[in-house]
Amino acid sequence: MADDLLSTFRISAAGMKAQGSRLRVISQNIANADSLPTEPGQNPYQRKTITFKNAIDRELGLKLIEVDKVGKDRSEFVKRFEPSHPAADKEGYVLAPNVNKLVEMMDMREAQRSYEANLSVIRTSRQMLNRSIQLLR
Amino acid sequence: MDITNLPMFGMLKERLNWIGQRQQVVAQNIANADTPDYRARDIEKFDFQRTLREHAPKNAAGGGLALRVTNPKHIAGPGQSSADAAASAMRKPYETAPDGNSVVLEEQMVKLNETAINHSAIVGLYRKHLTMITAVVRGR
Repeated sequence: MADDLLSTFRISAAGMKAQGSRLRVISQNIANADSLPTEPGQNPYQRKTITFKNAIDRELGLKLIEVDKVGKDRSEFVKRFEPSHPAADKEGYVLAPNVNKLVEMMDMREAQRSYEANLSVIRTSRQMLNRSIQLLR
Repeated sequence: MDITNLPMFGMLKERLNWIGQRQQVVAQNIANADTPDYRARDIEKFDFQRTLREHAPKNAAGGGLALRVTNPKHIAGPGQSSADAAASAMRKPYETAPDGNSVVLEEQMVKLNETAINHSAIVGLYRKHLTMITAVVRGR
């Protein structure tokens, strides 16, 4: 029984780690939302995406979550009219990253909620274990 | 009545076991709340009647409700083994996201709290019975 509750910690910790990696990718996207190219014809920062997968931990016999891969968002770059920019083309347009800050913010909130949910699982399991231990007193 | 094998404690222990397993399944669901194609899972309901049948006190003739095993070659009656409850994907999830994930965080939180409350009730019962036994032993 205690084994079940202890393995809960492992599962939730893996979930929190995955959400942490997600937050890292999101912060990269937001930080680079204005990373424009330096010369004409170059590409700006390309938005990164992250996916999760279910992996079996053979040692514990549990299904843990882990980061599947960090990929690139292949959607089109945004064109920004900035004739004075060194990377502007003949018409005066600069390619800007395909990062939508609103989407990133929403993603961030989602990651935060999932993180909190995992945290409350750990909190509840800890309380339950503590109650069982209290029986000894 | 055998002090080392009280039916009440046996039942409580089984219930605690079930609670631990459920907690594990719920934790898995919550950790995978963003995994594509993950189906939310749950374990089968705790069957009190079955547990009662298994742990019911035996009568003088050694009858009781469960089959008695007096020889290692005897085969235990049905429902006598306290095997782990099986965890399976929920047949009717609340909703499924476009990426095939059917975990609803709110639903899982409800289950989490349900398990915690059940656990504290069972532990409370356990403690009460322990106090009763201690009272008898001390003779006060």
